[in-house]
Amino acid sequence: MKGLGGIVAQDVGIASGVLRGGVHAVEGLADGAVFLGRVANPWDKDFNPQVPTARQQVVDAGRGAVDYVRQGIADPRRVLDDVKAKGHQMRIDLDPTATPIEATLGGELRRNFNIGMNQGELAFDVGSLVVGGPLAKGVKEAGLLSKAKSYDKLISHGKSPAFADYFSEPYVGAGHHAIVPQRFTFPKVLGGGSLPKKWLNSPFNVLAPEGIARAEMYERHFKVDPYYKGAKVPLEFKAEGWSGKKLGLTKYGLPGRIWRGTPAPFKARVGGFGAAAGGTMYVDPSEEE
Amino acid sequence: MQLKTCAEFWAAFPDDCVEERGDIVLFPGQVVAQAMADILTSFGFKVTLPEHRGEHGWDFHVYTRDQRIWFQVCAFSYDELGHECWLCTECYGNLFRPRRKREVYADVLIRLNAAMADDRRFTKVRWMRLDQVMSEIPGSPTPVSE
Repeated sequence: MKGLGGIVAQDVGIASGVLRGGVHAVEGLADGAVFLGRVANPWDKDFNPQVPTARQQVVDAGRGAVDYVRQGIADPRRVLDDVKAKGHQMRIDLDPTATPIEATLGGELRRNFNIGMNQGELAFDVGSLVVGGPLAKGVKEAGLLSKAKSYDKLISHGKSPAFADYFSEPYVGAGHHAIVPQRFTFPKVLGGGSLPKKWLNSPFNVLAPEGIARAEMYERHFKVDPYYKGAKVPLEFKAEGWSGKKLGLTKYGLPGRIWRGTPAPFKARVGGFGAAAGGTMYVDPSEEE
Repeated sequence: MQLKTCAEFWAAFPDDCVEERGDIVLFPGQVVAQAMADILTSFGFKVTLPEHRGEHGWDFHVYTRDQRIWFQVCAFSYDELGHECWLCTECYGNLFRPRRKREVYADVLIRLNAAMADDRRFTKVRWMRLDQVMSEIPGSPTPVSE
């Protein structure tokens, strides 16, 4: 009886956990908005005298994170120990066999319901990551489809067939750093310096869809990045560099920059909330141009 | 006071573009960015080393009076005049005073412009807004106008 009840409680818990995952995501956004409001509020200390100011919390949290990364680089074993400890806690949270069966039916139902909830929330979080697969594939297909279009556009602007060929090849480069730009540096009070390259160049931060043609990537980069105007081309073409302005391209407005400039994995992670927000903000690029 | 934070110019420096198998692996402009960084260092500002930013070119930061000013130099093409370049800049306040100080920003750009005017390696310097770069507008000889 306890076993059957536990299975049912776990299934109900999973469904509730998926919902809780969504609620937590919204809470995170709401908490973030409130916190940002406090950071921007010059009277934060007067309104919240019992807690450290939001700015001080930002500084402390930032210092802690930077210290942790630095210590982790110096002593990777410490990070491994932390991961092990976290893994142990995860097993307790997610695996019904990791904790003993409760003595009472009520206790057992509660235990399985809680484990189900944790599993459901994890499914929500992982699910929003997995959505990145089909999205990224879609972007890749769009890139491949646009090769001929890119070639024709360059030829129509008087570029040589060799130049157009070069720009129809798959793009290999640094891409567009969408969320954290390359120019970002930590404030001096947090120790200064830039973000570790591994994070800066992560797929969540860099827009460079796999298989996209060089011309299409340059165009996309030009449209979404106010500080990107064009670049030099290899010497063999004996030509001036690639210039978005000279090709008649125009920059996207803010909504277009956010939507078209954000890497697919990041959009997928933000999930339905970001997509819905982006959808309501999105303006067709052809209307902006 | 209107501040023009970007510029187009020519820079007579060796071509430092590095290619491998017909593709660019190191975009040009490091020598140009370094020369500008040296000028700004000579004014007593704390200046970081130029870093390669792929198709963006090279960038560095200047720190002065609680402000960080970011400089990005992109060398777009190369001929007998040297590198055809554009410069984009942006000024940032600090964590507690995020609003930038226009007078500090203007002072750095005015001093840089004067030094570039005196340096024969830099020619045809024209200042403009970010959205005007590469739009073939004539630009302004100074970064500040009334």
